[in-house]
Amino acid sequence: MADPTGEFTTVIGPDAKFEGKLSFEKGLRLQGQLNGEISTAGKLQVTKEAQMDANVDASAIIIEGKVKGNLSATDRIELKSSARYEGNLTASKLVVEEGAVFVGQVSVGPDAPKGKPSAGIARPNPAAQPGQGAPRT
Amino acid sequence: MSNLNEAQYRPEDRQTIVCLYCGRAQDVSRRAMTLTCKFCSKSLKLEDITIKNYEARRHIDTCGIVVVEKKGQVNADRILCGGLVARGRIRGTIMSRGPVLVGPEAEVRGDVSAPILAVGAGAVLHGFYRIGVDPDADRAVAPD
Repeated sequence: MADPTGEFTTVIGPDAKFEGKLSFEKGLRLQGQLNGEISTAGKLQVTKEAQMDANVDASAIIIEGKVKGNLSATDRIELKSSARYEGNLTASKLVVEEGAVFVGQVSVGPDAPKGKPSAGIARPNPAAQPGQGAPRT
Repeated sequence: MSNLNEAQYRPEDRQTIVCLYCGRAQDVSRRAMTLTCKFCSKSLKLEDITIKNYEARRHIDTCGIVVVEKKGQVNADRILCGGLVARGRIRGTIMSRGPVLVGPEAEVRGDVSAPILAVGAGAVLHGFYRIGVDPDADRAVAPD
């Protein structure tokens, strides 16, 4: 269970379920379930077996499991091949591995986190069709 | 004579393409540039499209790869393609049957639907994305 790199000092284990607001300094590895809100200057890793329904504000987010909610990262968001993500995403950099599935509004670019949406932004409607959200000038 | 015909039709001369509109696969000659889908009778372009400068179009429809070069800029209502490589700027809805590769410093504004997305560092993306989701689940595209 211990993290040999010391990057993820906080671990929510596979048999744990957390609900509410969570903040931490360095890094969190989520292996269980989490519903609520996360605010950190550190890293968040959602492992393959984990499930999360939360609005997250972090420096880097790595997703391997099932995630719903709005994610905002000042540095990067990585969607691994096993990731299933639904929600709005704001980050400087986005890394998507082959096999990752995600549906939602994307705002990526060096300036994207500065104009990040508020935490209470509406969740995307899974029934929404492409072609509805493109800004036109 | 029949032996000669068999030699002429080598399997490597054929390619499998997926219709942009009905999503069904069919075998066609590698040399074909356009064809009519044998299932939905829609006209399909097979050639790759490279955009090197500014282009404003209503639709870009091809089963091939659309490449927007570094100095290229596309303004389109809809890009329906077999794959997309963006090195320049794109504004419009993208529906790709194959991977969408967004190069570093490229800019894509609009909704994107693709099986695979690769994003380079420094790329700018804005829009509603559907990645890795079965395109035929929600795609009912009618050519104009």
